[in-house]
Formats: sequence, C-alpha cells, structure tokens
Amino acid sequence: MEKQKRQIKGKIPGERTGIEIRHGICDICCPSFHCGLNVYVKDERIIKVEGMEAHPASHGRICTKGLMNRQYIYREDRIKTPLKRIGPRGSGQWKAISWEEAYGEIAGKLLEIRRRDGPEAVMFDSGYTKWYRPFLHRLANSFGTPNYGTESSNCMFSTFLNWLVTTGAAMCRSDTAHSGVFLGWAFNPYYSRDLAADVAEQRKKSGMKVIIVDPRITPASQRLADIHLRPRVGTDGALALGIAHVLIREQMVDTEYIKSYVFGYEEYKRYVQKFTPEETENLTGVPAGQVVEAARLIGKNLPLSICESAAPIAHHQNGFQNYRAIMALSAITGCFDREGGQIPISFSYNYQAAGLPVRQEEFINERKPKQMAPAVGSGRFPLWSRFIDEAQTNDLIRQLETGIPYPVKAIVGFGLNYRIGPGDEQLKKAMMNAELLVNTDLFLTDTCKFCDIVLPACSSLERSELKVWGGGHIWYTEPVIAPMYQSKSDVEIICELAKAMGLGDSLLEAGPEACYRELIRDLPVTLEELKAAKGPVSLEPEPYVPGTWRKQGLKTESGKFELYSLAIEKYREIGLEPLPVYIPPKTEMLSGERWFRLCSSPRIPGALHSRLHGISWSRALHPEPVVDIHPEDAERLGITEGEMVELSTEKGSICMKASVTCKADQGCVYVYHGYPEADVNTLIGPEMTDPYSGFPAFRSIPVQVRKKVQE
Amino acid sequence: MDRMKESRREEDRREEVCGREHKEEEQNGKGQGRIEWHREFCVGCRACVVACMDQNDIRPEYGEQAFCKVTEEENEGRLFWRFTSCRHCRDPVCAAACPKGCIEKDSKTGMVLLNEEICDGCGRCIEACPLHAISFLKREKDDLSLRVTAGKCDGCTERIFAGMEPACVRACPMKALTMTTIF
Repeated sequence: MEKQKRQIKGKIPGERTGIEIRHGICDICCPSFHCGLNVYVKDERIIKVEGMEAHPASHGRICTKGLMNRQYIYREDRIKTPLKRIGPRGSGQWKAISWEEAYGEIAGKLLEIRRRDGPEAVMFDSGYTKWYRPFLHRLANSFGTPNYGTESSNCMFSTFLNWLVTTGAAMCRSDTAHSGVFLGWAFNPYYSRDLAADVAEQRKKSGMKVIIVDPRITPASQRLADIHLRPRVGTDGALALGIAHVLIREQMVDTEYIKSYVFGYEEYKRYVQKFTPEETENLTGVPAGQVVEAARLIGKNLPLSICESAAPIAHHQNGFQNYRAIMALSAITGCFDREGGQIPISFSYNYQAAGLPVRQEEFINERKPKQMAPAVGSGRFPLWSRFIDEAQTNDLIRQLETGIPYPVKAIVGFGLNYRIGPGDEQLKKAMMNAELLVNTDLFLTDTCKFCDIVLPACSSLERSELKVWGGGHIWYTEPVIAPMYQSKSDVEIICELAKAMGLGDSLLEAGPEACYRELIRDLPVTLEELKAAKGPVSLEPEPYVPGTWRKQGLKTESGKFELYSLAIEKYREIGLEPLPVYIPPKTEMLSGERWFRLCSSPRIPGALHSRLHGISWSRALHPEPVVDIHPEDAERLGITEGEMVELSTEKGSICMKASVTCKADQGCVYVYHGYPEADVNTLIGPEMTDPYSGFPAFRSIPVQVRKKVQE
Repeated sequence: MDRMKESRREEDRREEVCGREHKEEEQNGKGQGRIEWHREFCVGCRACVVACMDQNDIRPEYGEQAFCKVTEEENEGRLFWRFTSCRHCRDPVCAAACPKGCIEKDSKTGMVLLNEEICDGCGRCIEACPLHAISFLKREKDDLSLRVTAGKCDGCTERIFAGMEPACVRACPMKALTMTTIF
C-alpha cells in the first residue's frame, strides 16, 4: 500500500492525509466533566476522537463513554428535521415540518393554554444533558410558569438540598489533596472520574488513609481501601451514626469547633447514643469491630474529607437523612470548611464552581414574575420547594392524573426521558392527559415517539457553547462540524421559541451570543476574546481560603452547620425530623428465601443512563442487560451464569441474564439500568419516595428472584 | 471457580510463552515493538477496546471485534482483568498457518502485520492464534458488497511512525498500557 493510503487508514493528521485535529468537549455525561476532545476530521466528517492534552481539567483523558462520541453522534436514529405527529400518539406516523412551522405550532398552543389555564399549566422539563439549563429556566420565567423541572429531581439535587438545609451552601467539594483520611462513600471513580481516582491514589501513596463504603466490590474498594465497609443497601445513615457514636464515645470529636460552628450537637449526641457498634452491625450488616476500626482511623488521621456519589446515597426513602448523617461526620470532626475537609462552593455557571462571577442568577431570574402558582411537587415536598427553585418532577404523575392543585396541559421537553423514574409507564399514561407534548433530542427516543412535535437538537461537537471549569477555566467552544441535517443547538431553539411566542424577552430574542455576552459581562474577558483564543482560557481567580464562610457565619438560621435543622423543624407536623434520623428501608423487613434487596443502577464503564445502549460499541462491551447475584445466592436458587432470571415485584416483572459475581453482596441483586428490553423502573412504583427530597427509592426495593422457567 | 482458575492458568501459560520470547529478543537486542499491559494498573474500564474500535472502524453490528479485549475474572472475592491482543510473536504461528503468505513479521518494527488486501478470509490464522487475537473483518468493497478478511492489531504502526502512541495506549486512563519501541 502506498504511504498516503496507509496514513489515511491509520488516521494520521496532516496535509498529506487531509485529516485535521479540531477541539471540542464531550457532553455525554454531566457538566462536572465535559472533558476536552481531540476530534479527527476528514472531509467534514469525524473519523476518530481522543482526549485533549491541553485541556486544563481533563489533561488528555477521556473515559470509555467519551471514546464513543463518534458513534453517538452518527447514530442512525438522529432526528433529521422537526417532526409533527400525523397519526395517533405513538403511532410512528410523522410529517417533516420546517422550523418555522414547528415554532408556530408550539407557540400558538402554549399561548392558548397560558390564556385559558394560566402559565403554570405549561411545564418546561429538562432531561439530559444539562448544558442549556440556564436558558431553559429563563424561558420558563419569561413565560411566567413556576414549572421548570429537570431530571435532577432524581439525581444531584438531593445533595444540593442537603447542603443548603445544613450549611446554606449549595455544595461542597472534598479537599482530598490535604486530607489525612478519606472517606469514599459509594465512591468508585475509576469508570467516570479518573481525575478523582488519580488524586486519591497519589495521596494514598503518601500516607492518606482510605475508607471505602460500598456494598459492592469495585476497583476503588480493591485499589484504595484500608478498610472496606459493606453496609446493606439503604442503611448508610445507620452506619454514619454508628461511626459518630464511636467518635463521640472515644472523645475524638473537635469540641472547640463544635462550640463555635455547629448547631444542635447535644440533641444529635443524644440521638446517636443508641447506635452502638453492635446495634450498627444489626442495622447495617457491617461488623461492629469494623465500625470501631473505621471511626478510629478517622479520629486519628484528621482532617477528614468525604467524597460521595450523590445518587446511590439519595435513592432511598431515607436517602436525604442518610446523606445528612454522613456529612455530620465532617462537622463533628471539625473538618467542614477547613483545609483537607469539605470546602463549601458556589456555582459560577451550569453547576460548575469556577470562582468566576458569571451572572447566571441574574440571567435566570431577571424576568421571573413576582407572583407565581406553586410549582409541581411543592405541596407534597415542601422542603424541596423551600430550597430548590424548580418543580419536583417526581410529583408530575400525580398532578397529571389528578389535576390537583391545577392541571398541567403542556410539557415542553429538552432531552426528556419518561423512563428515568419509577413508575415510568404510569407517567407515560398520565402524560397522555396533556394537550401538547414536545420533546427536543438528538435521537428519536421512546419519549419522542409519543410526542406531538419533536425538535432535532445537535451534539456538543456541532455547536458553540460557553463552558467553565473549576480553577477559573472558561472556553467558548467552536463547532467541530456543522450541525447535522436540520438540527440546532438547544439554546438556539430556546431563543427562537421565545421569539416565536413574543414573550417580550429581548435578551433571549437577541440570540445565544447576546445572552453569553450578558452572562460574562463581569468577567475580565469578552466573548470576542474568548472566541479568538480558540481554546480554554484561564482567568486565575483568587482561590477560596477555607474557613472564610464558616467564620463569617453560614447562611442557615443559626449561622452554623445545623446538625439540628431549624429549617426542617418547621415541617415537623408533616413528619419531617430536624435531626439526621435513621429509618430502615423496606428491604430490611424481608424474610423468605426468594426475597431480595433490589438495587438499581450500579454503573458500568461503557454506558450512561440509556444514552449509549443504542450504539454497537457500547453493546459490544455490554451486549445484554444483566443482574448481578452473589454466587451463594445463585447456588441456593439453582441459577448459573448466563441463565435467565425473573425479577418481580407487585408492579411487574422483568427477565435478564444472571451474572454470578462476588461484586454483589449476599441477599442483594444489582440491575444495570437504561435497557429498554428490561426496564427496571417498571418494577418500582412512583409512591416510594423520600419525603424530604421527593427522590425515588430506586436502590432499596424488595424483589422476588427466581430462575426463569422456559415455557 | 475451579473452571475459572483452570482457564486462568492456561492463559497465564500462553502469555508466559509469548513473554519469554520477548525477553529473549530484548536481551538479544533485536528490533521489536510491542504493547505492554501492566495488570496492576488495569481497572477493566475497556477504554482501550473502544479506542481500538474507533481507530480501526470496527463495526460490531457486522460481527467484527476489536483487536484487543479485556476479560474480567474473579478469584476468592477479588476482581481481576486481563488485556489480550496480539503479542507480535517472534515466530508467529498465524503467519505459518496462512496459505497465502498474508502475514509477515515486519523487520523494522517487529510488528506482525496482516495484509488485508491479499487475505481471502480463509480463517486459518484465526484458528492458529493461541490468544484468539485475530478475528474476521467484513469490509465493504467498491461495489458495496462485503468482503471478509482476517483482521488483527498492527500496533498502530502508522501512528508510531508519526510519533504518536497506539490508540489503546493513548486512551488508557490508568496508564496500564505502554508502548515499547526498540527500533
């Protein structure tokens, strides 16, 4: 083969081959990452991706999922034009329409509903990804509806709610770089947070102690843990309170710090008295000796930083309080807002704490009406509504079904996925009550299939966007390739929709670039300068000095870290408790050999939610949905590797292949989620929610397991 | 578990044979490039496998496989992973098995290269490789009909010539893969 041909086959960039490397960001997972990409382009087609070395946050790395960008972008079910349903909902009969027609139809209907039923009858609902959210929230405010909701009602906002209630800060980061002991709670960074793994490994080498809490065996438990605690799913709170019990009993708490900066310690101390190591063993399955050992490892190696994964802790009926119980350890050891501990952060833009004064709050709220109806979920989950300026979307089913306190008549989705929550088929049915269903997505997903109008969005490599990262890095990206077919960027769609509705929002109407200029008005850099930089720019903000917020007084009622929450105290009459109390999950009351704890959604390296199951590279790694089951449980039920297993609850049943593995603990089965052919959410009802946060109890569901009998 | 241990031993034995050959070559100072896998760093994320599929346009929907694979094993409550790809053997049995002489050990790089242009997809090399590191490719011809050939790791030779790392090495977030070049 001649050299040029060989080099083209080898995808070598250069003039000879006509292959060019352009830079972009991956938007397959959440904004905390959005790693930099080197995108190999030939004839305006992407032929390969790899990590971008010069990227200030990801340093050339990308994960298994990010490496799938090319197949993801060129998926065959990309939506090509705006579509209008011409048959019955879900019939698959579509008519391609122009953008003007689509905007006209949507705007006409939304304005009609607003006139007739009030603006709150329209819901703007964001699924994944999250990059356009400040724009969508502004659109909802301009329209006048309180019903801006997101899939974060199921995911990271539980942590925000926790920190807001307890400390007044929206979030904390763990200052692992300066910790003496690291508590990784449901922490397995190897499949998605390589950089966090790197820091933990390096620190461990230089003597930092590590405790991993995870019912499963993971690369983190094997590579990092000095002690691996394996509580039964959903019992995290009891374990944290048990550790606190030992820390207090053995006088390993920071009494001076507590006096100055912690509220409600005496009540908390009284409450944890009953969580002796022996009782903790009863409640969690973690041996009493290990509880003591872990507490001592913490007490003797302070400062303590805690790094958690939000969803596994939150997805239980007591998830909010379990999370609070874990983070209480930071307060009693004097490590909250201290070097080497938990450092409170505030977000600059799109959930990123970059230390930059981006005008996101002002942008979102500039046109917010003074008076609005209560948002969806605020009746059932008042604590959520008090702290989170969003609908709690887990209450949408109920409101669609009952029309109480008012009917929701239209849902305009961006990346909306009805399958994301428990009782998904019930939600789909309830959505049929709406007069207008719109979804915006890259692909004709199961949700798009029953909508009235579907709009084609483009991927992160086909658009420009403003993106910030921790450390003050900011990048206004350029499209790597032109938007495919007639697709557009989500923010462009939002701006054009605002214009079509004539909401009088001159900023949105002026388009995305005008909005970005306004957002970065207070930064020492202009949009033109960012464009000219053609890559990430570092603005080097003043770093936060740990202790500043704590010493100024936190934004809680007491001004302190509230072990006893004065905000929750106001909701005592509806059964909410100000202390981080422990209530066992339903799975703790099981008996009988076929009953198991079902934990949905552990992670696999090559998939995220349902987003990559539709491409063949991901399927090559994980061809079929499987359920992890411990070898002894499998033997007891007569199940061998690869055999079909039936999982059933009162809500339904699904079948999948057994993966007999020591990764699972005994008595618990783990189901990987997002597979349309074995949708674990059909096993779970929408009523099993956490009363504080409204989060669904995905991960502690009683389930019956048996070998599937061939008929 | 016994079955698993047995297969582990078998794989270890095969690797040992290949590894010994490499050591000898290194000592003899003979030209040899190869991809080394360091098991202590591997976490089984399979970024290498996807990078290989991206680099080589592998289409699993056509039955094609990446030129490397990562398998997961368990032993006494611990997880282990194993990376397998062509070891670019000194005396490649695949080359010996090929009736058409499509496979040659490149004298410059030491890589075992398969000439897909003359391969007719008979599959003898696939049967011969003890590591199962060769598989079928189904590629479109100019008339869009599919042509079946064997396909294997070429160590991303062109990338190496261009001063770049092989795709799998470049992608590994744990740096568990390294490239040894002695040419």
